[in-house]
Amino acid sequence: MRIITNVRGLIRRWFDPQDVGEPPDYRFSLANERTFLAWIRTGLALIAGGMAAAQFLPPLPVPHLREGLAIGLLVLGGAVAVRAVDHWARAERAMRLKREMPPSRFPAVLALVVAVGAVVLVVVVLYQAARD
Amino acid sequence: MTDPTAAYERTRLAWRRTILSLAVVALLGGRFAVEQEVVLLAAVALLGWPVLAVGGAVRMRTLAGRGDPAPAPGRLVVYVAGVVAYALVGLGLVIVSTG
Repeated sequence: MRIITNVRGLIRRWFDPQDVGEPPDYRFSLANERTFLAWIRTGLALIAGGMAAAQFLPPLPVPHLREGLAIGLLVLGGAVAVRAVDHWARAERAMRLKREMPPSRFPAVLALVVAVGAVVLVVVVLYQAARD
Repeated sequence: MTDPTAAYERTRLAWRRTILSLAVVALLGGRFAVEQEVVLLAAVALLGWPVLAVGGAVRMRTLAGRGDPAPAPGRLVVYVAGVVAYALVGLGLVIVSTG
């Protein structure tokens, strides 16, 4: 039950972070909006990658690897988009309440995930080249 | 930033870049759906984009003024929903293409 209440509170905060504190300098609000849009574009790039992998990649040597890759990228893209609005709302509230900005560990997490994925793909490509 | 209008213009440009990124995803999804012959997902992918593009254009118009720009939380959630919808279209098409 508490999980449901927490999720509803989270979503409500996305819609109305302005119900607390005082409006910050408009330039900070706009900077926050631009950061949100940059994260949205990151999510869209991951989704584009997933769609491209599903449509244009030939079947890879490991069974279902192509589909797994596409699904992973699509899910990651959606998660990045959700995280974008959550971070935007947290930042807006922090600015309004004149508190410190929320910590942002996600960029490092995403960078690691993408790096690991790239290494896996290099291994797959080399394996395929060695086989042929 | 010594130019007080720079923030507005930078934000408008960010919206424009976002609308363009959405167009790329709409086209990739639309092409995939047409290839898999799933009319519903093709319609969602291709017709969803104009809706989001118009919303973005309206936001850009609001930012073209000089007064304090109205905040846009509801609009931002709509864009998250749009991106998640495109992810779901992609997932549906992956399932269809392997089925």
